[in-house]
Amino acid sequence: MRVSTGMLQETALNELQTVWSRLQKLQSNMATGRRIHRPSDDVIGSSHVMRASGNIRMAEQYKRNLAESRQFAMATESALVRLVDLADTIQMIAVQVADESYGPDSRGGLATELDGLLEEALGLANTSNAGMQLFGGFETREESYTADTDGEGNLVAVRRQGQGLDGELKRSVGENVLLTINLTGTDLFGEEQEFFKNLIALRDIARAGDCQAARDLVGTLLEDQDRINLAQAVTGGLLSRMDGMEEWLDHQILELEATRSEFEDLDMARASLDYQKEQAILQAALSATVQIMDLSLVQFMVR
Amino acid sequence: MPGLTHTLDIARRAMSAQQSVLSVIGHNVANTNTPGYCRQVATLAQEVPSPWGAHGYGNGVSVESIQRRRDACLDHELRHDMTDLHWWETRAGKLSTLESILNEPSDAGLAAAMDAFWNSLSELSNDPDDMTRRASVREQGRQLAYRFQILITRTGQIGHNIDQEIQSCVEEFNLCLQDVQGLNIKIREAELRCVEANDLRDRRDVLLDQLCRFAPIIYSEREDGIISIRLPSSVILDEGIYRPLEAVVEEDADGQGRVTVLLPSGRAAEIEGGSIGALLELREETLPTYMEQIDTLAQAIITNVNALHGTGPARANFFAGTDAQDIAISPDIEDDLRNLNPSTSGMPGDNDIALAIAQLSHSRIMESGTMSPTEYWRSVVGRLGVDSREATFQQESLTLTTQSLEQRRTSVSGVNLDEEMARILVTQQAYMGAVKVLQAAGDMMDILLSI
Repeated sequence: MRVSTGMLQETALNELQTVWSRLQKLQSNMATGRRIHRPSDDVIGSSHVMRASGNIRMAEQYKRNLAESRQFAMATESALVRLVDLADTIQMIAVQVADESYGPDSRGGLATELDGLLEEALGLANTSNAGMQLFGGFETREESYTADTDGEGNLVAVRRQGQGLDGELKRSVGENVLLTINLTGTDLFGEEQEFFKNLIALRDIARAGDCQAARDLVGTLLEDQDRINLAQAVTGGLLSRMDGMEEWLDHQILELEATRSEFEDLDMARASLDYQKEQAILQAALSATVQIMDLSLVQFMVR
Repeated sequence: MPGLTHTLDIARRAMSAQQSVLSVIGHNVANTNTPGYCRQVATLAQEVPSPWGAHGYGNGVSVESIQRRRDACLDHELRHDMTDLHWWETRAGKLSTLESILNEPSDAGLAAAMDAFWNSLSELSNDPDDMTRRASVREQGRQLAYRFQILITRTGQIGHNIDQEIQSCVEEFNLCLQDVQGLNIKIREAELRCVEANDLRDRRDVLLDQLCRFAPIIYSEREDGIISIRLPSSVILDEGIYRPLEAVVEEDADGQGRVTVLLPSGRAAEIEGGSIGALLELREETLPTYMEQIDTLAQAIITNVNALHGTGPARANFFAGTDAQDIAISPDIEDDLRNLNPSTSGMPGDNDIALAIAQLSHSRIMESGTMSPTEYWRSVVGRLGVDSREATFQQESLTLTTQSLEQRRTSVSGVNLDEEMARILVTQQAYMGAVKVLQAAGDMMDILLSI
């Protein structure tokens, strides 16, 4: 093929341009550590990266939701631990009240103790965590359990007030996974606040010294105790499920990050070698261009 | 037998012919780097011999013609590929700009803005009555709306820029066409006088090269040297015909100015190649499709979020607007965060609406219930990636093809300095030979006269 002077220049420039273009791409990849900057760099890869990034963002949010839910559940568990103790104590006191060997003074003392327990239980029923009532259902801001007292200041009834008290607090902890994180007052204290009613009744029985009535009440108190024990088991189960969920989310995030990295991240070692190679090619091309441009009959004729 | 004067004439003609050759070589050397220049070759031919007695004696040499070296088939092939190359190059450039505007995959694109919005609602569901979380939802809603607006405005801006580019391309196309018309006349006049119009033809070829970059022109040369040019639908240049294209700004249904390319007949020019063709296609087909998809996504989000949010006690919309252009936070929410309803009951711990809206990220609310908003957006980005990749691939491939054809053309037409230097030496030698003949004939003439 006939070669013209212009061809030599044009070819050299085209080739140099190609090498510069490859070097620019490599340099940009190495500066960012990524090999995908726009969808056309790798259509399938960028789709994987977008999916993985979106899922990571979602999973991180689920983890945050889970952390808040765990805090709530742990506060619930703490309240329940105390409530279980209270229920045990009440059961023991009921047995003592039913015991005919106890004299009126002792029973009076037990009644006073029961008054204290009643107030403590009421306080636990209104426990809040981070400004949210634990057992108020959807009524998370206001205390839902209030006490009525008689003229002498004795607590005579406990009432629930507010709306949505049996509402389930649901939290999103996964794609289409909702977790109910609360126990309602009904779950703990009975639909008609039986726990408080029975406690008040026991206190009154202790004051009245009615052993038979106390014996009759023991069975009912056992039901209250069972309800609280069951609630504690449910909360324990919830926390254990949360542990599992958190582990799963951590694992999911790790896998998603690996996927994203696989498609998006640059193989630095390889890129570095490619860069060196392209640099060598560029130097060779430049040197060849200079030499070939110098080789001309004109050089000899003008001497 | 011819006399000495005949020999002197031969030497004179030889010197004159070699001078002409040297002049052509000089012209070639001078234009080595002139774009579009086609090397010229002076063709020498022996003069018709004169009969003297029993012999026919040669009359020396003369320049028969000065021809340019050019392959018309290569020109056709190259120009056809140049039209395609400029179509793909223009398309690749604009799609690359669109990719930059979409800014995916990144943490600052629409996908991230949508995720942040859904996540803010998920966060709100943890404490629905918390005003800080409500404010965060409103802020993420604002960011999402802003992202949509930026996307649609900048995509529209590409369309606006394309309109301007079409106008300047048409202007340039018409200027080239006008120049070709002027050169047509000059070439015909020169060639009618039997003068080679090599340089004028070179300039016309450069203009044809430029014209085919703008549009898929079809051209043919008549015997008298006139080139006629037509677009698939109409003749735009011929003897006595000069029909420039017209870029007319017309208002579309939305009151936006749009450029239409018209033939002088008033019909729309059907240009389906070259940079003008690519710009028209992008403006009419590609960009509107992407803008429509962005709008569809914005509409789906507005409709579905509002449908869920409207079931709350405030009965207020979350988003105002109908598409990506005018999406915004509704005035009710902007004015008072208490109008942001995380639940239907309005109770402080209830979060059914917040959860339902957050779940929209996975809900198949797009494309007749087959895709979630995130999947839909991914498919839009994917389609753009495919379109852009294809355009870049075609551009790269056609660049190589045209480079190769350009090289073949330069191989035929380009000046090789070494070749010209060698010719100089040969011409110099021939000239010196002629001088020697002249000298010898002169000496013989002197001897004759001194007798």
